[in-house]
Amino acid sequence: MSESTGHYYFKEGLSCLFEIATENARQLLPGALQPLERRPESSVLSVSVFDFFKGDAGPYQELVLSVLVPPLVTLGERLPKAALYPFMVATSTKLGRLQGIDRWKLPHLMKDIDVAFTEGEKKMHVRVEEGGEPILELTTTGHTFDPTELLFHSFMSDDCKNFKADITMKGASYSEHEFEQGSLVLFGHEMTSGIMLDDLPDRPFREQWMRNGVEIFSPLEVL
Amino acid sequence: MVEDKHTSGKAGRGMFADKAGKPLPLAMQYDYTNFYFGSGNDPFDMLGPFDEWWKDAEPAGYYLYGLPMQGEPGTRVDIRNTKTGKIHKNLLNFASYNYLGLSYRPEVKEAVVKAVEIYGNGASGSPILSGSMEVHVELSEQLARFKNKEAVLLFPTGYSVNVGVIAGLMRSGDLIVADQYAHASLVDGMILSKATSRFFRHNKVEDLERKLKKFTGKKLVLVEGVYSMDGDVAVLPDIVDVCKRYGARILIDEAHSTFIYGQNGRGVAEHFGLEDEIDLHVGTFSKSLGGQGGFLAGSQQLINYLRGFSRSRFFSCGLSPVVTAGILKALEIFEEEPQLREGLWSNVIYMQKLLREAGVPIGQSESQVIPILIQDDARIFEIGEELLRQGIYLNPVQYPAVPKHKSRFRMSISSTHSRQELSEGAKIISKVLERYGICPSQPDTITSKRG
Repeated sequence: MSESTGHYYFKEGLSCLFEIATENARQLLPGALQPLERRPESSVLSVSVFDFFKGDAGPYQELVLSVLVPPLVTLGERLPKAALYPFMVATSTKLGRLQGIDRWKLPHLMKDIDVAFTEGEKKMHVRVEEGGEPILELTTTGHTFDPTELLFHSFMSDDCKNFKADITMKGASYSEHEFEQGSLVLFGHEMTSGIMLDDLPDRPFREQWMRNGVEIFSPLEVL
Repeated sequence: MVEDKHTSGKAGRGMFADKAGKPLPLAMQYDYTNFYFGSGNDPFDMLGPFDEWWKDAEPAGYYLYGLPMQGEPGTRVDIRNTKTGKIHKNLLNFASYNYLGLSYRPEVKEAVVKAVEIYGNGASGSPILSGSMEVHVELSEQLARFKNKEAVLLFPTGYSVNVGVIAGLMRSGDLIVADQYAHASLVDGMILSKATSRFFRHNKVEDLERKLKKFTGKKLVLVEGVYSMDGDVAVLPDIVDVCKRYGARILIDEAHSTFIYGQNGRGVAEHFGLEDEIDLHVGTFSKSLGGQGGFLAGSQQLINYLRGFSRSRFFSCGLSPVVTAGILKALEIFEEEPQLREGLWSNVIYMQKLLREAGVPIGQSESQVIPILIQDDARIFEIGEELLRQGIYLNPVQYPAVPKHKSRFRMSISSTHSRQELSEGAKIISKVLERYGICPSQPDTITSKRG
């Protein structure tokens, strides 16, 4: 295993996609990236929450807010499922946060968050807080669960460089659907300050739920 | 190891496996959405990756789209299988939207032949220049009378109506709000207009209101009468109520509902008694009238304006006079034979009952458009091939045309289907779906050996 390849094993990985005004999505992206539009003037916000139990940064919980962008598709390369630009990440531990910043160049909230997972019948509710202040409440529902392995392109940037990492998500059971059954409440908070909350729908158009999986980062490529 | 796969290059580069761990073919792992954006500086850079996928995808099921029909779109058709070269004979046709069987009526054919003797084949000019013929004027007048509107504007295709009307009317800085299931032509009209575009959740009026109330300025709301993928109907009374409160104009696309809904067949707006509350009435000739093209009906002022500003019409050749003559005759037959529409509704009720009783999932359809919900995206093509073998012609619809896990076959019922054909169709479909665990077990066996 390459030293610069990161493995993060999780019990739960939830990701919901919401339509966000392209105008807002552009504000969340660096100039070099354009949002991927699902419809005219409507881009995609991804809200992901993970419950990692072991891996390069030990156990921790993580909230990732991303905007979907066009992937890099080239002949002879594996096709990614999607590409994203994480514009804000928050973790429950300092170790998780430092690793995300130093190793993967991800912008972070510099405070620990508290993540509470509550499982219901074929659904998972997550509440994320920071210092007692609510950040979000997310409910994801399941459809059929099958083993899967997915490839994503993740783009990052620091002060002077742009990077890309391939992220492979491999899980024992994975559900993905567009039944519009989940829900989201985003609260006004430093974490969500770039998002026009009034414009955001309260239901995801797509819900993704992976259980007992691993997130594998490839080494960063400088673009 | 994941790392090995990660660097394994192009061969067998799939990632997805079925429950037994067997890799799924590329066709099932990817879809058109994977090839929309690509890297590189050459617009052709995407052609290679797409072609690589297409070589797997086409034989795996995508070939089921656009199979060449060997004759008229009747209730029984012969179809050439482009994968095997075989002609599937006498298939039960539930794919064509020839709802009233007017495309091949002898009187229509006769009118078409007569028109070709008079006008030749094409209009040979834009309708605003030399491409307007007497037959076009007659159709416009007859349609305006039928729709009970002051005037009608003809367009060469249904698609061009929406694109031309929306972009002709709305400008940058205006707001257009469309139902999320609005047809691509409505969406493309929004894009072309450069107005601010927003979508509301399907038939959710509170979401529409949320979008409208924040905006000051010119507003247009886009809905369909009958939605083409689900067969359900716009909640028009509620939509009209909200639009009136926020000063929004309404365009209704009645492609699948004109000549079917309402006391006189004028559409869903007539069905709800809201014809005068709707500002722009769009319809097509390709569905119930079995022709081609479309129209906008409205006030004379509206038509006068859009005659000059609908670029999709202005810069297209006029509707073929031959087709126009056929449409004119089809309209005449429609008005003379109300039994056509009665027969269609009788068939719709009959078929929906048969399918529901057999446990075939058909969603919330209230119309002649009946979705057969498969929901198993990976097997939609396999089931499509089996239906073809069993004598049924139906088109699969999968993501991204419909949401994930909402793949389906879109069934169209015609007034010309016989009860025997509907019964046979329902029996075959339910039996095939039973085999795939989508329908409960049925008594009896498949009776057709066709295909």
